[in-house]
Amino acid sequence: VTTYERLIVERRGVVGWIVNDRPERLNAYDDRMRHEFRAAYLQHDADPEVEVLVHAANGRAFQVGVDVADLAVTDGTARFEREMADFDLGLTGWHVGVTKPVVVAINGMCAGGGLHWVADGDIVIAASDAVFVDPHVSVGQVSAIEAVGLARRAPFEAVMRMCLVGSHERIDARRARQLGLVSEVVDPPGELHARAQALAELVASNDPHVVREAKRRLWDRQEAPA
Amino acid sequence: MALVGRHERISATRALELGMLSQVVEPDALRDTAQDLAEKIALNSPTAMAHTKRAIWGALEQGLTDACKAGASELVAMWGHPDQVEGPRAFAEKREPDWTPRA
Repeated sequence: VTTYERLIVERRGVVGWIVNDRPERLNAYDDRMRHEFRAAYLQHDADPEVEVLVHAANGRAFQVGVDVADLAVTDGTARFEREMADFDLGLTGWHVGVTKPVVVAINGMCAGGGLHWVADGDIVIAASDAVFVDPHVSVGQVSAIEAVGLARRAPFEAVMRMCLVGSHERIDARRARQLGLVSEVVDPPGELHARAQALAELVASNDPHVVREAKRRLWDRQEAPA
Repeated sequence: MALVGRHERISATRALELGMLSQVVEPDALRDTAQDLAEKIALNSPTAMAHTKRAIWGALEQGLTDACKAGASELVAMWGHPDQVEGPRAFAEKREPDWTPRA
Protein backbone atom coordinates (compact mmCIF):
# COMPACT_ATOMS: atom_id res chain seq x y z
CA VAL A 1 0.00 0.00 0.00
CA THR A 2 1.39 3.39 -1.03
CA THR A 3 1.67 6.16 1.53
CA TYR A 4 0.79 9.37 -0.27
CA GLU A 5 2.62 12.62 0.42
CA ARG A 6 1.75 14.62 -2.70
CA LEU A 7 -1.80 13.40 -3.34
CA ILE A 8 -4.93 12.84 -1.31
CA VAL A 9 -6.27 9.45 -2.37
CA GLU A 10 -9.60 8.43 -0.89
CA ARG A 11 -12.98 6.91 -1.65
CA ARG A 12 -16.22 8.90 -1.35
CA GLY A 13 -18.96 6.32 -1.83
CA VAL A 14 -18.37 4.67 -5.19
CA VAL A 15 -16.07 7.47 -6.35
CA GLY A 16 -12.30 7.16 -6.04
CA TRP A 17 -10.70 10.58 -5.60
CA ILE A 18 -7.18 11.67 -6.52
CA VAL A 19 -6.44 15.22 -5.38
CA ASN A 20 -3.19 16.98 -6.28
CA ASP A 21 -2.03 18.30 -2.91
CA ARG A 22 1.20 20.18 -3.41
CA PRO A 23 -0.33 23.67 -3.64
CA GLU A 24 2.84 25.48 -2.55
CA ARG A 25 4.42 24.31 -5.85
CA LEU A 26 1.20 24.83 -7.88
CA ASN A 27 1.00 21.01 -7.90
CA ALA A 28 4.05 20.70 -10.13
CA TYR A 29 5.13 17.08 -9.97
CA ASP A 30 8.44 15.95 -8.56
CA ASP A 31 9.67 12.38 -8.82
CA ARG A 32 7.69 11.38 -5.72
CA MET A 33 4.44 12.77 -7.12
CA ARG A 34 5.01 11.03 -10.47
CA HIS A 35 5.26 7.74 -8.63
CA GLU A 36 2.10 8.52 -6.67
CA PHE A 37 0.00 9.29 -9.79
CA ARG A 38 0.62 5.80 -11.14
CA ALA A 39 -0.01 4.16 -7.76
CA ALA A 40 -3.23 6.11 -7.14
CA TYR A 41 -4.78 5.37 -10.53
CA LEU A 42 -3.94 1.67 -10.28
CA GLN A 43 -5.19 1.50 -6.68
CA HIS A 44 -8.63 2.89 -7.58
CA ASP A 45 -8.86 0.80 -10.75
CA ALA A 46 -8.24 -2.35 -8.69
CA ASP A 47 -10.55 -1.36 -5.81
CA PRO A 48 -13.88 -3.24 -6.19
CA GLU A 49 -15.65 -0.50 -4.17
CA VAL A 50 -14.71 2.18 -6.74
CA GLU A 51 -16.83 2.60 -9.89
CA VAL A 52 -15.64 5.98 -11.19
CA LEU A 53 -12.50 8.08 -10.57
CA VAL A 54 -12.23 11.85 -10.08
CA HIS A 55 -8.93 13.70 -10.43
CA ALA A 56 -8.92 17.23 -8.97
CA ALA A 57 -6.55 19.58 -7.18
CA ASN A 58 -6.12 21.71 -4.07
CA GLY A 59 -4.79 25.28 -4.30
CA ARG A 60 -4.89 27.90 -7.04
CA ALA A 61 -3.60 25.64 -9.83
CA PHE A 62 -4.72 22.25 -11.06
CA GLN A 63 -1.22 21.40 -12.21
CA VAL A 64 1.67 23.09 -14.01
CA GLY A 65 3.74 20.16 -15.26
CA VAL A 66 7.08 18.91 -14.07
CA ASP A 67 8.85 20.65 -11.17
CA VAL A 68 11.98 21.84 -12.93
CA ALA A 69 13.65 22.70 -9.62
CA ASP A 70 13.28 19.07 -8.53
CA LEU A 71 14.60 17.70 -11.82
CA ALA A 72 17.77 19.69 -11.28
CA VAL A 73 18.57 18.31 -7.83
CA THR A 74 17.47 14.65 -7.81
CA ASP A 75 17.99 11.56 -9.92
CA GLY A 76 14.45 12.25 -11.17
CA THR A 77 15.97 13.54 -14.41
CA ALA A 78 17.35 10.13 -15.35
CA ARG A 79 14.04 8.44 -14.62
CA PHE A 80 12.07 11.12 -16.44
CA GLU A 81 14.27 10.80 -19.52
CA ARG A 82 14.04 7.00 -19.51
CA GLU A 83 10.27 7.03 -19.17
CA MET A 84 9.91 9.62 -21.92
CA ALA A 85 12.20 7.69 -24.26
CA ASP A 86 10.10 4.55 -23.59
CA PHE A 87 6.84 6.56 -23.59
CA ASP A 88 5.96 5.10 -20.20
CA LEU A 89 4.95 8.29 -18.41
CA GLY A 90 2.55 6.90 -15.78
CA LEU A 91 0.90 10.25 -15.13
CA THR A 92 -2.70 9.80 -16.27
CA GLY A 93 -5.31 7.07 -16.22
CA TRP A 94 -4.81 6.55 -19.95
CA HIS A 95 -1.05 6.16 -19.45
CA VAL A 96 -1.56 3.31 -16.97
CA GLY A 97 -4.55 1.66 -18.66
CA VAL A 98 -7.34 2.48 -16.22
CA THR A 99 -10.55 0.76 -17.34
CA LYS A 100 -13.00 2.70 -15.14
CA PRO A 101 -14.33 6.14 -16.16
CA VAL A 102 -12.14 9.09 -15.12
CA VAL A 103 -13.61 12.55 -14.49
CA VAL A 104 -10.98 15.31 -14.47
CA ALA A 105 -11.95 18.55 -12.67
CA ILE A 106 -9.70 21.49 -13.57
CA ASN A 107 -9.39 24.54 -11.31
CA GLY A 108 -7.21 27.61 -11.74
CA MET A 109 -3.99 27.33 -13.73
CA CYS A 110 -3.54 24.30 -15.94
CA ALA A 111 -0.23 24.75 -17.73
CA GLY A 112 2.15 22.67 -19.79
CA GLY A 113 2.26 19.14 -18.41
CA GLY A 114 -1.00 19.86 -16.57
CA LEU A 115 -2.63 19.50 -19.99
CA HIS A 116 -1.91 15.73 -19.88
CA TRP A 117 -5.04 15.28 -17.76
CA VAL A 118 -7.15 17.38 -20.13
CA ALA A 119 -5.87 15.29 -23.04
CA ASP A 120 -6.45 11.96 -21.30
CA GLY A 121 -9.57 12.41 -19.16
CA ASP A 122 -12.73 10.57 -20.16
CA ILE A 123 -14.81 13.53 -18.97
CA VAL A 124 -13.20 16.92 -18.30
CA ILE A 125 -14.94 19.77 -16.50
CA ALA A 126 -13.52 23.09 -15.33
CA ALA A 127 -14.16 25.74 -12.71
CA SER A 128 -14.94 29.17 -14.15
CA ASP A 129 -11.50 30.36 -12.91
CA ALA A 130 -9.64 27.75 -14.99
CA VAL A 131 -7.06 28.91 -17.55
CA PHE A 132 -5.21 26.76 -20.05
CA VAL A 133 -1.74 27.64 -21.35
CA ASP A 134 1.13 25.70 -22.86
CA PRO A 135 4.39 27.53 -22.15
CA HIS A 136 6.76 24.81 -23.43
CA VAL A 137 8.14 26.62 -26.51
CA SER A 138 8.52 29.89 -24.53
CA VAL A 139 11.05 28.17 -22.28
CA GLY A 140 12.83 26.24 -25.01
CA GLN A 141 10.96 22.93 -24.62
CA VAL A 142 9.06 20.79 -27.11
CA SER A 143 5.31 20.37 -26.56
CA ALA A 144 4.51 16.94 -27.88
CA ILE A 145 2.58 14.37 -25.87
CA GLU A 146 -0.20 16.49 -24.34
CA ALA A 147 -0.52 18.45 -27.58
CA VAL A 148 -0.92 15.27 -29.63
CA GLY A 149 -3.71 14.04 -27.40
CA LEU A 150 -5.48 17.42 -27.43
CA ALA A 151 -5.15 17.76 -31.22
CA ARG A 152 -7.22 14.59 -31.60
CA ARG A 153 -10.11 15.73 -29.38
CA ALA A 154 -10.33 19.51 -29.87
CA PRO A 155 -10.19 21.73 -32.95
CA PHE A 156 -6.73 21.32 -34.43
CA GLU A 157 -6.08 25.02 -35.00
CA ALA A 158 -6.84 25.94 -31.40
CA VAL A 159 -4.38 23.37 -30.10
CA MET A 160 -1.67 24.39 -32.56
CA ARG A 161 -2.15 28.07 -31.65
CA MET A 162 -1.93 27.36 -27.91
CA CYS A 163 1.25 25.34 -28.40
CA LEU A 164 3.00 27.81 -30.75
CA VAL A 165 2.03 31.02 -28.93
CA GLY A 166 3.25 29.51 -25.67
CA SER A 167 3.13 31.62 -22.52
CA HIS A 168 1.95 34.73 -24.40
CA GLU A 169 -1.74 33.75 -24.46
CA ARG A 170 -4.21 31.87 -22.29
CA ILE A 171 -7.48 30.07 -23.01
CA ASP A 172 -10.16 30.80 -20.42
CA ALA A 173 -12.78 28.34 -19.18
CA ARG A 174 -15.55 29.75 -21.40
CA ARG A 175 -13.50 29.37 -24.59
CA ALA A 176 -12.28 25.93 -23.44
CA ARG A 177 -15.91 24.84 -23.31
CA GLN A 178 -16.66 26.29 -26.76
CA LEU A 179 -13.70 24.35 -28.13
CA GLY A 180 -14.77 21.14 -26.42
CA LEU A 181 -11.62 20.94 -24.31
CA VAL A 182 -14.04 20.70 -21.37
CA SER A 183 -17.71 19.79 -21.39
CA GLU A 184 -18.89 21.92 -18.49
CA VAL A 185 -17.87 25.09 -16.65
CA VAL A 186 -18.74 25.22 -12.96
CA ASP A 187 -19.52 28.61 -11.44
CA PRO A 188 -18.78 29.56 -8.72
CA PRO A 189 -15.42 27.74 -8.76
CA GLY A 190 -15.92 26.52 -5.20
CA GLU A 191 -18.65 24.18 -6.44
CA LEU A 192 -16.23 22.24 -8.69
CA HIS A 193 -15.54 19.28 -6.41
CA ALA A 194 -19.21 18.83 -5.46
CA ARG A 195 -20.18 18.89 -9.15
CA ALA A 196 -17.42 16.39 -10.01
CA GLN A 197 -18.72 14.03 -7.30
CA ALA A 198 -22.30 14.37 -8.57
CA LEU A 199 -21.25 13.79 -12.18
CA ALA A 200 -19.18 10.75 -11.19
CA GLU A 201 -22.18 9.34 -9.30
CA LEU A 202 -24.34 9.84 -12.42
CA VAL A 203 -21.82 7.87 -14.48
CA ALA A 204 -21.67 5.24 -11.74
CA SER A 205 -25.45 4.79 -11.91
CA ASN A 206 -25.05 3.19 -15.35
CA ASP A 207 -24.22 -0.48 -15.88
CA PRO A 208 -20.48 -0.63 -15.09
CA HIS A 209 -19.71 -3.31 -17.67
CA VAL A 210 -21.48 -1.37 -20.44
CA VAL A 211 -19.75 1.85 -19.37
CA ARG A 212 -16.30 0.25 -19.40
CA GLU A 213 -16.97 -1.35 -22.77
CA ALA A 214 -18.07 2.02 -24.20
CA LYS A 215 -14.92 3.63 -22.81
CA ARG A 216 -12.72 0.90 -24.24
CA ARG A 217 -14.25 1.18 -27.70
CA LEU A 218 -14.03 4.96 -27.84
CA TRP A 219 -10.35 4.92 -26.86
CA ASP A 220 -9.67 2.08 -29.29
CA ARG A 221 -11.07 4.33 -32.02
CA GLN A 222 -8.33 6.82 -31.15
CA GLU A 223 -5.74 4.28 -32.26
CA ALA A 224 -6.77 4.76 -35.90
CA PRO A 225 -5.36 7.73 -37.84
CA ALA A 226 -7.51 10.84 -37.35
CA MET B 1 -19.53 23.02 -47.06
CA ALA B 2 -17.86 20.70 -49.58
CA LEU B 3 -21.18 19.20 -50.73
CA VAL B 4 -23.27 22.37 -50.82
CA GLY B 5 -20.56 24.14 -52.78
CA ARG B 6 -21.12 27.76 -53.78
CA HIS B 7 -24.75 27.71 -52.61
CA GLU B 8 -23.82 28.38 -49.00
CA ARG B 9 -21.20 30.35 -47.09
CA ILE B 10 -19.83 30.06 -43.56
CA SER B 11 -19.46 33.39 -41.77
CA ALA B 12 -16.37 34.30 -39.75
CA THR B 13 -18.43 34.08 -36.56
CA ARG B 14 -19.59 30.56 -37.36
CA ALA B 15 -16.04 29.56 -38.35
CA LEU B 16 -14.92 30.74 -34.90
CA GLU B 17 -17.66 28.68 -33.22
CA LEU B 18 -16.57 25.63 -35.20
CA GLY B 19 -12.92 26.08 -34.26
CA MET B 20 -11.86 26.49 -37.90
CA LEU B 21 -10.15 29.70 -36.72
CA SER B 22 -9.40 31.15 -33.31
CA GLN B 23 -9.99 34.89 -33.64
CA VAL B 24 -12.26 37.27 -35.52
CA VAL B 25 -11.21 40.93 -35.85
CA GLU B 26 -12.53 44.03 -37.63
CA PRO B 27 -11.43 43.93 -41.29
CA ASP B 28 -9.25 47.04 -40.90
CA ALA B 29 -7.40 45.51 -37.95
CA LEU B 30 -6.62 42.17 -39.59
CA ARG B 31 -3.04 42.78 -40.69
CA ASP B 32 -1.98 44.53 -37.46
CA THR B 33 -3.50 41.69 -35.42
CA ALA B 34 -1.74 39.09 -37.54
CA GLN B 35 1.57 40.95 -37.14
CA ASP B 36 1.11 41.15 -33.34
CA LEU B 37 0.30 37.44 -33.13
CA ALA B 38 3.27 36.51 -35.29
CA GLU B 39 5.55 38.65 -33.11
CA LYS B 40 4.35 36.82 -30.00
CA ILE B 41 5.10 33.49 -31.66
CA ALA B 42 8.51 34.80 -32.73
CA LEU B 43 9.43 35.24 -29.04
CA ASN B 44 9.55 31.44 -28.67
CA SER B 45 12.36 28.99 -29.37
CA PRO B 46 12.41 28.35 -33.13
CA THR B 47 13.80 24.84 -32.70
CA ALA B 48 11.27 23.90 -30.02
CA MET B 49 8.46 25.20 -32.24
CA ALA B 50 9.69 23.17 -35.22
CA HIS B 51 9.66 19.92 -33.20
CA THR B 52 6.29 20.85 -31.63
CA LYS B 53 4.70 21.60 -34.99
CA ARG B 54 5.90 18.30 -36.44
CA ALA B 55 4.60 16.37 -33.41
CA ILE B 56 1.15 17.96 -33.60
CA TRP B 57 0.73 17.45 -37.36
CA GLY B 58 1.77 13.85 -36.71
CA ALA B 59 -1.32 13.48 -34.51
CA LEU B 60 -3.41 13.41 -37.69
CA GLU B 61 -1.25 10.90 -39.54
CA GLN B 62 -1.18 8.11 -36.94
CA GLY B 63 -3.22 6.58 -34.16
CA LEU B 64 -2.98 8.11 -30.69
CA THR B 65 -0.33 5.84 -29.16
CA ASP B 66 1.87 5.88 -32.27
CA ALA B 67 1.51 9.66 -32.55
CA CYS B 68 2.46 10.07 -28.87
CA LYS B 69 5.53 7.88 -29.38
CA ALA B 70 6.49 9.95 -32.42
CA GLY B 71 5.91 13.07 -30.30
CA ALA B 72 8.16 11.64 -27.59
CA SER B 73 10.87 11.22 -30.24
CA GLU B 74 10.51 14.88 -31.21
CA LEU B 75 10.80 15.79 -27.54
CA VAL B 76 13.87 13.61 -27.02
CA ALA B 77 15.45 15.05 -30.20
CA MET B 78 15.57 18.46 -28.44
CA TRP B 79 17.56 17.14 -25.45
CA GLY B 80 20.97 18.74 -25.28
CA HIS B 81 19.94 21.71 -27.43
CA PRO B 82 21.14 25.03 -25.93
CA ASP B 83 17.58 26.48 -26.00
CA GLN B 84 16.51 23.88 -23.41
CA VAL B 85 18.89 25.47 -20.91
CA GLU B 86 18.52 29.06 -22.11
CA GLY B 87 14.72 29.04 -21.76
CA PRO B 88 14.51 28.20 -18.04
CA ARG B 89 17.58 30.36 -17.30
CA ALA B 90 16.09 33.44 -19.01
CA PHE B 91 12.79 32.82 -17.19
CA ALA B 92 14.60 32.63 -13.83
CA GLU B 93 16.60 35.78 -14.61
CA LYS B 94 13.44 37.59 -15.85
CA ARG B 95 14.91 38.49 -19.25
CA GLU B 96 14.15 37.71 -22.88
CA PRO B 97 15.73 34.42 -24.01
CA ASP B 98 18.56 34.47 -26.53
CA TRP B 99 17.62 31.52 -28.76
CA THR B 100 20.06 29.66 -30.98
CA PRO B 101 19.05 30.17 -34.64
CA ARG B 102 17.67 27.06 -36.35
CA ALA B 103 20.29 24.91 -37.98
